[in-house]
Amino acid sequence: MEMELAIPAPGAAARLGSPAMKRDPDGELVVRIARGDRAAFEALYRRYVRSVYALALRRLGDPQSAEDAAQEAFAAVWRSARTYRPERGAAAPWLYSIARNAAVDRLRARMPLATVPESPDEGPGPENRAEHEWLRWRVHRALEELPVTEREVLALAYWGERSQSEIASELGIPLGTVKTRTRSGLARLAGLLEQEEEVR
Amino acid sequence: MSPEFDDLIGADVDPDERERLRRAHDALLVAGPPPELPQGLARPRANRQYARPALLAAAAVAVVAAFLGGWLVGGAGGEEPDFTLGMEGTTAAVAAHADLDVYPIDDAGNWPMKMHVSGLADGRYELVLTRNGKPIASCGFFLVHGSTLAWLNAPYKLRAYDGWAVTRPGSTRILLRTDQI
Repeated sequence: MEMELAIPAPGAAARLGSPAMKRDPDGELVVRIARGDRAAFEALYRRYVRSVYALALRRLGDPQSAEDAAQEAFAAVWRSARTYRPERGAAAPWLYSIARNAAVDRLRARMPLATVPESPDEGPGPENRAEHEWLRWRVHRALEELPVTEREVLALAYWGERSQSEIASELGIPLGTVKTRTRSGLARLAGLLEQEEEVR
Repeated sequence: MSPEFDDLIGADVDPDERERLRRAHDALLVAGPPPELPQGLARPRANRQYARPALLAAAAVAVVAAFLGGWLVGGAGGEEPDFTLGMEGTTAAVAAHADLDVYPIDDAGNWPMKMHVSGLADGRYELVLTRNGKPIASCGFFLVHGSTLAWLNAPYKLRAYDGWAVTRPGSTRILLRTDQI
């Protein structure tokens, strides 16, 4: 499904002129990792492992290769945290590029050289694909930040194909609570996506 | 089938807030569900020597050996678990995690188990044995309130199953699962 998105793609904020840099908790973790802080590495890992794996899985299409690429991406984060410069931007795009490179490297390693497609790709262009990939990354990352109760309701509504009445019945909570959690979950998600734009 | 925005949100939202919620709604539709996390990514590696595939395979062999070892030494008794399995949340419970300690089988054929679970919404859940990844046999119910420790039991021949999962009572939707063994 293609749809018009109101959320800027990577680099768009810089082109539009970002507001003053705000606090970036991910960036603070990367700075600590650069000093060899294992706890910071574990915290960053837990925040991002699912997004990194999801990106690799979409690129590679194979769970085992995606798992290996995710491992490689986090190994690269550990090795290259010292190269991260907070003044150049938030940590999320930096991590995204590392994850994408790990997946691309693995893809290249298994592709024969100089393969030429027999027919032109009629799918969305590279810019659109990159925009969607970036959005998926940010949404999956933001979902990790939602309270469990809100995430559970959103997951059932959006991917479990349940009506709100069915969700209420399955979770054993009033319909009004489902509606409240849905709305507050969407509001929190919107806030997280906006907040991430502001720190970039 | 995508959920209808107006059905989810209702009518009593001011236009600006409605627009914000709409953007989040559209973003969720485009993003799709996050994937289930494979067991190999459940924990970060302890150091910068990230495991190679051969080591991952060796680790998988060790888990299988530990699982099978449960039958071989079953009945030996003791305080230590025979084996421990990690459980990871599915897309329906992405932040959930559990460690399942399985203790030696007793003379009656029970496998006592201790499960430490976190990241699930407070409520009532069921631990089940799975076959071909589907819930088959109940190992008991437990309540979650924050990070929870629950004692459960598997009065079954484990050979007939391929793993464990956590569901809501009466639902077949899996929230947490072990790798299939």
